[in-house]
Amino acid sequence: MPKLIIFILCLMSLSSLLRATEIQTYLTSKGPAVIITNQVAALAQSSNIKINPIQSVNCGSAVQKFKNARTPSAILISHNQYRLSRTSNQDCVVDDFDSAKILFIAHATQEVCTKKNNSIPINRIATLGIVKFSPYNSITEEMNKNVLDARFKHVLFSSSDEILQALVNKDIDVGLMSLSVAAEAIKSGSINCPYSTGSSKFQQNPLKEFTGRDSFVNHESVSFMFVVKNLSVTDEQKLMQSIRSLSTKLSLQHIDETIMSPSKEAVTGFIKRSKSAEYLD
Amino acid sequence: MIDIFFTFCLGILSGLLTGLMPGINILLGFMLFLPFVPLDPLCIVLYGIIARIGSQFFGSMAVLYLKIPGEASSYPVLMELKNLKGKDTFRAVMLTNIGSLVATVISSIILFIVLFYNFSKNIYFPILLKLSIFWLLVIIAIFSNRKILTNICVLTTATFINFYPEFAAIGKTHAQSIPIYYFNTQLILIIIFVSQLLWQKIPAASAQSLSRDKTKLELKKYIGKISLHSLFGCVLGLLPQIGATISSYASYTFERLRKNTALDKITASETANNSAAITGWLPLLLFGIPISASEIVLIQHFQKFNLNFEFLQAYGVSTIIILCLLLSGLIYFLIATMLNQKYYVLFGKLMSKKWFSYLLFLFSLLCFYLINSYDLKYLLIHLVIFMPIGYLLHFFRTDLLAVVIGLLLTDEIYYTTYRAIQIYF
Repeated sequence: MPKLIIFILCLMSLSSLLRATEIQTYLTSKGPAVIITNQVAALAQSSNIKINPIQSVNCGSAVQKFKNARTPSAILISHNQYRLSRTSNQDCVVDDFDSAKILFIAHATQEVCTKKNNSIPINRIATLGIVKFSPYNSITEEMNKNVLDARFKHVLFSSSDEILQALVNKDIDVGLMSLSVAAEAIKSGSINCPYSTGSSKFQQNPLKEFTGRDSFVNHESVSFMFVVKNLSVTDEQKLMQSIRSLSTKLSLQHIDETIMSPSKEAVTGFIKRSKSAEYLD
Repeated sequence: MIDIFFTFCLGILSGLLTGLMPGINILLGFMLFLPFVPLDPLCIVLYGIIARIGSQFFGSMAVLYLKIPGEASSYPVLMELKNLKGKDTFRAVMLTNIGSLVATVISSIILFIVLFYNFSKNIYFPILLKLSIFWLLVIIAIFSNRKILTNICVLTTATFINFYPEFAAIGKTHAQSIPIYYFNTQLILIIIFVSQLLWQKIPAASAQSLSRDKTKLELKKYIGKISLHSLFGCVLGLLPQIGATISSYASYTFERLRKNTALDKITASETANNSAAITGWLPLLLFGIPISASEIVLIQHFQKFNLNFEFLQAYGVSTIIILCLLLSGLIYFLIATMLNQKYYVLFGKLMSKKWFSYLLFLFSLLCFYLINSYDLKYLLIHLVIFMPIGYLLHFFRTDLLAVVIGLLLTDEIYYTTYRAIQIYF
């Protein structure tokens, strides 16, 4: 018995040695954020860098861990960071890029979806699934002014994945979710998405046709910025080299307009959008 | 492949330790090696199931050889020990081993069929059902050990810790001095659970000399009974949190009502809990709904590292799972059957030593510190706050399910309840 245990422990130690080095990557949300990080992780494997995604229960925790990190770390922040800081009264903002480097910026469009063969109910108040990190009050208000005269009340979820699940389970009537999450379900025929805020890959109509006027919700998308710190110059170059095809890969996952090594203007644009979203409710 | 092999070994180790040591319950055994498990959903699930099979397999061995129940579902065996004659004890060892193996095979096949044919595809799991299971777990935690007031206090405190950053943020609007601190719930659980080893008084193992007489096993007489109780366990295993224990007691009571022998009762109870230990994973694997404390920890681990159960749809995964489960059952069977009694006696003596508990405590903490790269100050703050709480929990003999639910599940319960209210009101 002792020999058996020693043998097992030796084998386990040997297999541990074969593992790659890791970058702790903090995430503040799920849905497209997970898809983006997983794609980065898959591509980074070729450079023997392991992206280790860690989901935080709240944005303050993720940002604190990232700011205090002394080992190679990364964070995927969304353009809702200022608004989340205000609503949660926690520090959810990453805007000091002196010691950190921005690898890319990505955008995820939003879809208005229903369960397959169901349409948006117009004879009663419909339940609209929205991600709780978004300005849900403003979105619901805007969605209630539409050409079909449909009325909504929002139901808050942690991620687009949960909205999709709730839609499939018939818990809600309509879901506003990321296309990257909805795509597989659209393909398999379990849901259909009649309106989109920026995609027509699945014959969706622009959301403007539903709202019937100019509104911020017509172009509502979630922007993400991937920031790394404490990486050696060599590791940084290796990582950038390995994720050079990220834009194409993310496009296949329905996350478009990815900007690799963004210019100062692109970063300023992201911050500007974050700040403009701060006081939306 | 190397990851699966590594995980398999970890699962076997965890199962052995959990089953044989009364100080290490299923949850602690599961958590002890969890940080070592590769961050792959298949590996984590395999580790969880294999560890739980082992805890049930060796729980009965600890009772039969050392008269110490390794886990709660082994108490029926303890009750019947006095009715066993000298030679019967070894027959009981063999029959419970065979029963556990058959139960593992039957329940693994059921698990395989359900996963392979993707039964969840056409089954809806509405929010109200999910909510009912969550609240049932809360009720079980409150009424556990009939210490309602203590359990409510523990649950409330754990919930407060879980929601502390949100509460502190609200408080900060009134008093700026309130600090926002982000506790690590997994580290808290480890400290509370591992510290139980320090306070726990493990009874001295009373090893008995067993006659290894295999000639009177009469397997034909028992095989029908073993199959029946395996199926019993498969169904009762679906009960939240107490599936394995309930199935063990139900099978025991069934045989008792039929006025059967002590050997029948022991075999029945130890067979049923093994199949329950496997089918109990079905709600989690099919719908992502945890129904036991270790599954709550597993789902939190999944969420932390953005893992999901979609891997089950991949080709060949259900085959890998069944092969690993069958192999683990066979390995546990061989270890349990072939190991000489003197090893159990040696182990029994070892685990009743206080220094062994201290060593295990330090080893576990060191592993967690090194693997998770915690900041030393962060670890010390957690130790200073939660070791005394661990002692209080031991002092009041509290069921730690309330701690697990409070720390890991209350936020999910809160948001699900809030969501249900938004939908239906």
